[in-house]
Amino acid sequence: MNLAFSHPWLLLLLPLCLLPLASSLFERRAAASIPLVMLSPVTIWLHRLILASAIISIASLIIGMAGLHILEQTVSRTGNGAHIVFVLDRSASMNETFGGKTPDENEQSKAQAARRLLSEFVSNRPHDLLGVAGFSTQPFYVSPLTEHKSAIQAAINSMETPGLAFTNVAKGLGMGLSYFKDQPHTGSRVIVLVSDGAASLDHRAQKTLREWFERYRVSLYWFFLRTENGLGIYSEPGSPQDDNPRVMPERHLHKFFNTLSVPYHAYEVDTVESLQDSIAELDELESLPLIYEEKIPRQPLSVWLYSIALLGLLLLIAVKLLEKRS
Amino acid sequence: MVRLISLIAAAFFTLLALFLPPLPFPVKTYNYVFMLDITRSMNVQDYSDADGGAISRLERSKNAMLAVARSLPCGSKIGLGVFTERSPALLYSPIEVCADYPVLEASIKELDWRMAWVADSNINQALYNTLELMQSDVLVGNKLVFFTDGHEAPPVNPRYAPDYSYIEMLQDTAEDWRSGLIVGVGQHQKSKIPKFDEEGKQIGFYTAEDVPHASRFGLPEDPSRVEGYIPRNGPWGTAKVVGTEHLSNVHEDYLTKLAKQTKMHFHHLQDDAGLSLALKHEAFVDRQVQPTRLNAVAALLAVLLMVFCYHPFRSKWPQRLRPVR
Repeated sequence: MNLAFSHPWLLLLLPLCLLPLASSLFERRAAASIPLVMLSPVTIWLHRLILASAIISIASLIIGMAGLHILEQTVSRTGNGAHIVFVLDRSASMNETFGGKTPDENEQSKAQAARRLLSEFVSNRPHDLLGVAGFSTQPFYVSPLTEHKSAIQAAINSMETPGLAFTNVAKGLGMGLSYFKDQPHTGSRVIVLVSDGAASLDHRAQKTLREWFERYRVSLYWFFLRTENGLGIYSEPGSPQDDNPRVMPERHLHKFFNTLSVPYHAYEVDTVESLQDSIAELDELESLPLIYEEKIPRQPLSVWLYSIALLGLLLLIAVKLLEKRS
Repeated sequence: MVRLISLIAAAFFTLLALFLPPLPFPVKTYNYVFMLDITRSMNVQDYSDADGGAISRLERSKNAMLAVARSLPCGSKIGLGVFTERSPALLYSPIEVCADYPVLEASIKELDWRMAWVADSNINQALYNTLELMQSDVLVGNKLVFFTDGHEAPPVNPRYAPDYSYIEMLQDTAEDWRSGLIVGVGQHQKSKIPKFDEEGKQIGFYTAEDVPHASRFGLPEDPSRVEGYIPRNGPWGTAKVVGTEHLSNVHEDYLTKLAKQTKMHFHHLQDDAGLSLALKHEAFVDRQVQPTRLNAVAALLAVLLMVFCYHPFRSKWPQRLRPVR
């Protein structure tokens, strides 16, 4: 049990509890003759009891004021959950609707829809450790793997703000994977890539990503927010010449992800409803037993101390009431 | 008799200390969005750290951000973003400075000039776009803290400066619109700007040949003042302009002017305490009612009453002599 004070300087008042030794609660009275007042073991003990309750009352009030508490503790528990890193596309096209238009009042942009659904997902998963990385042309470090849900929600909020330049998937994934570098391996590890486009990866990027996915054992979910009539993951090339990563980056990125040695799920999403379904599936699949740290908040002990003080005070009041008044 | 009453009062205050519910009290909090310039000129090492070593404007701003985050009262919130060229990128909307401090610390430490998605720097446009971004649903009500050195590259044509009246129009109360603080980062003396290669290794400094020294964009405001003006082939003149744009200092006059236009405050970053004072300005206070526990105050009153009952300077014998019956 670890004890601590929130205002330790208030303990400077503690010497005040010795005051009852220097002074008495009662009026001093003259007695005609000492033998009239019999000193018996009972009176001696009563005197000590009164003294002790005064000292204890003052001391426990002061200790209570200083804010004695049991420190916050972390307890390892097992639950269901995962370590999830969201890799979010911040490119400009995310601000369009699934129809490829600028959203009007009744429509949601892809980014808005993704934000709302991801934020619901986050609040429904109490034991997960979550992180967020963003990318457009360059990756951004947003929030490390953390249990602070409010910070993750704030990071997901950023999806609603205007997008930036282009889609550089490789760098975004690299940033997301780097979050697992110093993490203990427990439960499932997941990268959720949310993007509305793809890019061709050069050989160097492919090699690095393949290595890192293998090293950190992270499974990959790709929520591909497809624009209506746009190319998709499963689009077939019209002619053999078109079957190259420049013309059909989505198809080739999907092919590359399939060659990774880790579990990979792709969801081609072209309506808000299908996005909801795929997030529900993620929720279902990634619920392996996980060791997580639960924080037990600090417990103040002042209630106990004030109660002791109150008891002592009530005793003193009783005794004082019994004092002979002249 | 007096002591009996004070004992009873002490017991009453102890009861209060036990059962007093948290009372609503007004507290001062601050809600900020920190927006950091990550263009190249922020790499200039013209600040020194505690040990006297040179640190860049970027590192200095990051340290200042963390110091400020620690100095704001709990309940305050800080959001984070970076900007380059003309556009800001929000990393997260404001989060609480005490409870979420670990996240703030980790993400501020990772801010880097390599996050920049384009390399130009147009402070005025970026400020305009950031102020526009501040009107979005997730940020409205927060104040902007804009960390920049004011160095624009390439030099901009003042003719195409943004018009802030649109943003002013969006304010509910245009007259006391206080949008935040511009923090000027850098020293007044000019310093060399480090140059990096593709791998991120420093390969020297920018030289006068590396950078344009005057604006070449669009049309000049007053052609008659441009030397060698040729309407079609040389709207900016034909003379070679050589200036000191490869060196950088804090453009305080320019930033002060921008601050005036946008009704923001200006602060030149020197020490953390100064910045935190500038940020605790009355204009930025967000008054909130926060439940406050006053139980310790009740306990203190009880202790004082007990001290009164037992104070040792009482006369030894009762003062008033009573007539003997």
